Amino acid sequence: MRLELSSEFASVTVEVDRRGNGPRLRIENQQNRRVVYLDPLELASLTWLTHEHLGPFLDPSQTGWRNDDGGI
Amino acid sequence: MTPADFLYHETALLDERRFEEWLELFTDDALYWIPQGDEEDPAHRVSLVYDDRRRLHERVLRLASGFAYSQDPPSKTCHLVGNVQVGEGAEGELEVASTLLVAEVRRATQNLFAGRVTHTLVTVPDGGYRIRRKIVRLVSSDIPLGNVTFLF
Amino acid sequence: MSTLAPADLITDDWRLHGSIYTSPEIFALERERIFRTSWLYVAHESEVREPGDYKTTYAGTQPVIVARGADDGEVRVLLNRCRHRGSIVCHDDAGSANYFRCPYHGWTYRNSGELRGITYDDAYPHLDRATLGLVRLPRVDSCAGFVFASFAPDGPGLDEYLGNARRYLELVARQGPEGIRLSAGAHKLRYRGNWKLQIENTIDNYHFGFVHRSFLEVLADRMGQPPPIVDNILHNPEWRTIDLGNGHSVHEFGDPETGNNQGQLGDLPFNLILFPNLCFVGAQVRHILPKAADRTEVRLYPMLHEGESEEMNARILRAHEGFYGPSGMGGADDIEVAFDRVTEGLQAIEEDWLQMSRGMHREQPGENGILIGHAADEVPQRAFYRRWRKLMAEAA
Repeated sequence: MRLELSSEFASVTVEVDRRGNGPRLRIENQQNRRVVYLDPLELASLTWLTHEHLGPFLDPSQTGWRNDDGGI
Repeated sequence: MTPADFLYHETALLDERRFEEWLELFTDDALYWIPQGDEEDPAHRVSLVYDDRRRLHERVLRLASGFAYSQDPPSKTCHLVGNVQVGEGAEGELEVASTLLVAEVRRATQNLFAGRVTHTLVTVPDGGYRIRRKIVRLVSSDIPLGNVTFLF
Repeated sequence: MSTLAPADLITDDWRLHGSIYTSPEIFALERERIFRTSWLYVAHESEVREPGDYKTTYAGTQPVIVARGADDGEVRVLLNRCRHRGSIVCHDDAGSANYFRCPYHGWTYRNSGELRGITYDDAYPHLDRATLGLVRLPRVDSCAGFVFASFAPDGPGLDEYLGNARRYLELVARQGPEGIRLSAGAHKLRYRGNWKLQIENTIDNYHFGFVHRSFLEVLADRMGQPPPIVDNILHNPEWRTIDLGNGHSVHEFGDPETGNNQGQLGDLPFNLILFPNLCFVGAQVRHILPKAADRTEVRLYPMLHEGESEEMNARILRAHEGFYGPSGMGGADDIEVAFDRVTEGLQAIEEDWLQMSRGMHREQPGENGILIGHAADEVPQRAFYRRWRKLMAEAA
């Protein structure tokens, strides 16, 4: 089952991927087709997050919008 | 009479301001509904119009009162019905989809309204139809509107 | 253009100059002296329940975002304007986002306003990002779940500003067994005419028997007898209009705690005007958005009752739809007469003075500085303009 979450800023699909030895959460960015797979421990760790912690990932100059090959 | 002919007849009554006769086309358990926005959930969301037969009767009564200022002068309307598609409904009913375009002229201004309409028609013994449900999904339902008190 | 000073546009014997409705200069002055100094309604808490929730609206004429902080849950009011080149940052009426990304060049802000990052920022070696967050209105406060904000960093707090009106606001919030919520959407009206015409029309019992005569006939048909509204307006001593001070006013239909206006299901037992542009009438919150001297939008938010049955709340919506909104059997007559025909008549400027003196001689002082009048007297209008004249006369 694929779930879609969209806002005026982004659109992603989320589904459970079982092709590996254990389940992972597959997240796909519908705007650029980037994909990430998160295992249950990684997901559990996210529950420690504050939204402030996500700041570096939301900073476009650290991710997809920079001129060099650096960034996160 | 085909369902499409019935829709032409219905809207002609409105353009000719024969509101009492138009009202008679509705069943006792009728619904005349103009939703607002995309969420069609009248239990939880406000609509522009959500009239049962009683409320529809009141709407026509008001227009005939001579004191409905929002329709004084009355809107001149021209309804265009197109893209009529007839489908099966429940027993004895037809589900008719159509596209409606209404030009409304009032106070030196012409407004254009458009939308998809669904009629649930019940067949009656004389070979005609009555309207059990009429849902008018205006494309402009969610933008700021002025006085929209003519009948669709 | 009027050559009168703003303070002279309203005389002591309560004549109003028509230019208060028609002059672009007066409208511009209102933006400064009314809307930048007052507490402005922006949202009900139920509209931004969860961290990350936001709605877009207007504080006066300025587009704003009302957002509940992602981490701290605090409600902030931000100018909806990117600090780069001025685009609005959020365009939806409402949504959920802990960060906002401007569609023009991708500048990204926390939903508390701070600038988080800029795309390809090697082009900005010396930018001071700390000063480039979305501008926050300096004061945000709420009363009974209704959120207000002020452009003025100093001045009376919300409590003091509401004064005698606060009690009624608290009563509004207690209409449902567990409170009220705004979750049913809103009717959106627009009309050619000044924003103050809608305020004046909100508590104006004098017009009801005339403009809404067709609705009275509907009620007579529905109830099988003439409705008592006009009789109550003229003769019921419990129906009274009250100048609450600070520009606010109320029309009581009896005891505001228990009163019943014999109106529609869900209707409040009083109608309330909070200066400058917020009203409570029927079962709705009425937010008036000035756009230009002769252009106004109005949002009508039906209030549903928390803790009430789904069926009852649906009936509240049905009752509201019957009278209010663009297709309502009552409100549209106001658009035609009180807005369109007045706006047309106001073009006859050869004699530009209007009368707002109805019942002036019989205003009775009450406790805490209030003034009490008859149901069909122009007490609410004078209450509003007392405050309006005072603010307009003051240099910023």
